[in-house]
Amino acid sequence: MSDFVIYTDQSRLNSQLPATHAIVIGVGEYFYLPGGSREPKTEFHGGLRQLSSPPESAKAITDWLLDEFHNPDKPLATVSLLVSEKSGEYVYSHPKLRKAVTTRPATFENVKNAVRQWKNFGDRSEKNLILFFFCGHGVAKGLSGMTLLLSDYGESDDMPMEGAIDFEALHRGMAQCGASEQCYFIDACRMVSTIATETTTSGQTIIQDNQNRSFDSDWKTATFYSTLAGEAAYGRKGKPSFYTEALINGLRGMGSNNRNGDGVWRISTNDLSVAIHQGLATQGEKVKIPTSHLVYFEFHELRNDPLALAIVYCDPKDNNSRATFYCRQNQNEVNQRSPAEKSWEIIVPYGRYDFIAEIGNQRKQKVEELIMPPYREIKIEV
Amino acid sequence: MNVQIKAIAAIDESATSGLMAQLYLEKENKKIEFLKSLTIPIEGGYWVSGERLQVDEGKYIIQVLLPDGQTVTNDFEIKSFENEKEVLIYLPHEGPHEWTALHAMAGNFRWEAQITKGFENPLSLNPKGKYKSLSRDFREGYELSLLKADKNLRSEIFGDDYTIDKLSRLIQNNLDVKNAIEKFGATLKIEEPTREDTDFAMFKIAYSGVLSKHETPSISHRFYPRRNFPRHYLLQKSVLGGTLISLPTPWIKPFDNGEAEMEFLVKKNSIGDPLELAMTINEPMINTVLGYINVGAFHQATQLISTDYALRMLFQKIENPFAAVVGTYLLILENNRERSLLANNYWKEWINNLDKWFPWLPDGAVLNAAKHFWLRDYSRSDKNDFDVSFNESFKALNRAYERGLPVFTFGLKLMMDGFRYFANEKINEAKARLNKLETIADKTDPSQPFLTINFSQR
Repeated sequence: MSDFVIYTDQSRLNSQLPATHAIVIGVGEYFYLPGGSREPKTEFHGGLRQLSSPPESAKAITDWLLDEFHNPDKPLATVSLLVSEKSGEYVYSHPKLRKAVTTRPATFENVKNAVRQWKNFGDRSEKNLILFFFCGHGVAKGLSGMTLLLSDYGESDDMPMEGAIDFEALHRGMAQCGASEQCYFIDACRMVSTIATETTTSGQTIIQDNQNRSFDSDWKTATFYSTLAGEAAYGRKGKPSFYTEALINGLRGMGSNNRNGDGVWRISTNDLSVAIHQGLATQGEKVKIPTSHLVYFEFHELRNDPLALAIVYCDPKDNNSRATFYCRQNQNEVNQRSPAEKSWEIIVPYGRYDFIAEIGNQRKQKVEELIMPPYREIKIEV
Repeated sequence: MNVQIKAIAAIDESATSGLMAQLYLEKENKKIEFLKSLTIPIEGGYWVSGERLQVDEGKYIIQVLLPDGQTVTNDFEIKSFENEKEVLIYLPHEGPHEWTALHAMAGNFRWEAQITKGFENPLSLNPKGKYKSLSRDFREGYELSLLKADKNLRSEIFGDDYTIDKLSRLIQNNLDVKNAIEKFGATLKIEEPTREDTDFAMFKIAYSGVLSKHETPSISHRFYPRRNFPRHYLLQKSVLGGTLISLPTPWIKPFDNGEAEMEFLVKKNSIGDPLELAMTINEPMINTVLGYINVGAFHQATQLISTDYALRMLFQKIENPFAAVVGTYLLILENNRERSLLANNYWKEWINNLDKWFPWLPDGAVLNAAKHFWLRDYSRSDKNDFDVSFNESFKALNRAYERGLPVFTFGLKLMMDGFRYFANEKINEAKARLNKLETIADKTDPSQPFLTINFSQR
């Protein structure tokens, strides 16, 4: 096992049977951006700063992979994790690991080596599934440029993009990887920053930029970009980003369907994309994402009933700030919320619920409302 | 018994295939069972009928995916004595204004709508003023012009096989907008928007130009095979530079052969910053498809435009070659070889004709080339078949390049994918052309469906 891989199912890996391989990259510390720990700072900072959210997002995703990911045909075989955090070394622990792991920082050199190793795992079978998560700064340039900034971005102002990877080129190059199912989750703000206009490259190419696939299997690939503009993409200090939250909610059920008719709820690329989009819909000003190739396939099964979102509000909405909301099932209270301006967003296992809005002596309700993935709006006229 | 389901929206047009929906049956244990995916009509300005579904007595749930990614879920019950039932789903209107309803459905400026709450609150305390005054001096505002490329003898950019080369050079030269825009030749300044208020200006654009408030496109257009058809563009200039926008006009509506206008919506308080705009076609089905693509719901887009429907759009390319291109792009971009090769023989012939019959439309040739480099539509075991396919594809791709700029943004992306494929096969000419396209792609707005290029940034 290399320094990057924190989890291995060795028997699955040795078996050569189809499996899932994941890589998770969270970049919180940028050494050479303002607030970073190393000198000299780069002039090509474009207003970008340190981030506290990516290590938390990386942890949340890794926890989900180890606790909840379920693909009976392609069980999880490896997880690689690279995290840069402002406070120094990042230690990850989980009951499935024999001991806590100090992860390698997400510098260019480390990410390059980890990605190549992850690709090699993917090459072992055309039936493999590979998952790529990145959380950190990203800069966009036009139709073809998406650059992911790593923690040593800006080490040299002679070539600041030495510390960055050209994601579009990486993605195209991954057509040459044996794994025929590939998902990319890009939790970056896509800032059209001066970095993109003042630098001449879109980052380094770490896998040969060649989309010509030499395998019989089709290349099924899906990229999920964040739709939030600027720093709104992260939003909350020391917590997973809004995108990661929307992604995990999607993976827990909001992005699921039971269209196969066998009673099993599965996560498909399209349903997940819609769920993430919806999850971010109320979190800030949007950027429109570029048209990306998103092929339909299912890659995760739920072990239990899916979770779904209920968005409860008064009609008129101004009354939210005076209403106490209650959610009940079979006469039992599930949850309640005190008056607040925003609509009440409550995540519950799919099923039928009663919703009540109470303003003083006035009490209005909606009964036996089916809450199912991805979500349902409950409007109570009060 | 019969059930008819339709969505009701506050828009002028209607569509028989308007939205994708999923129908579920609630079982006695309160679990739900998926029954089928279906397309439902959008009823806007005139009545449309929906598909009649035969269902049994029971409790049902219908879940509709809107073009902006929102989901509407409705319950309905069929009782034993009912023979006919109509289920109506009222679509929310969340746009800034009533006249932006089509954009609102696709989620454009939804955030702004939450702030303005209709007309209640302006977006800015310092409104920018009317377009007419803003366009008097582009250094203080912005100006839109129509460009008719074909008859434009003064245009250095259009008029021969080297548009892409010349546009790429123009971008590299980084001229200021005043000098750069002269390279496009004579333009027709747009004097008035179709609708306008404090925050937004709406331009309804037909092949004849910008329509006034109550005007509808009046001239009928026909396309003929192997005949040139002059393409139109929009040019925008402001103190931040200039933008060239490819127009899919005239967009001919299915069935009645009238022209659907393009709706171009500008947020005025973005003027002075990178311009925020949204574009769509006043045809609800296409508006839905563009919205679905934007939220990553390709699968639903390809279900809404089924293989049969996409093939019909392709077959009816003489009526509307732009729609034929959209249908074929969906078949190709979904990258589902099983589906797209389902009607293999028809496909090959028709897409070939889309390329050959419309020499003014580069997208057709790009799609023809993509049969090889994207769909890998050749025999893996027959080297001769591969070689023929390889050579034909490269020829088609070069034909597309020489025809000029694709109409659609995904056309440019697919054209680049093609040249990258051949460049990786060590063809130097492909590498050179890819470099030119990359210069243009760097200045292309990836969020717009119709090719939008920022050719000057000062």
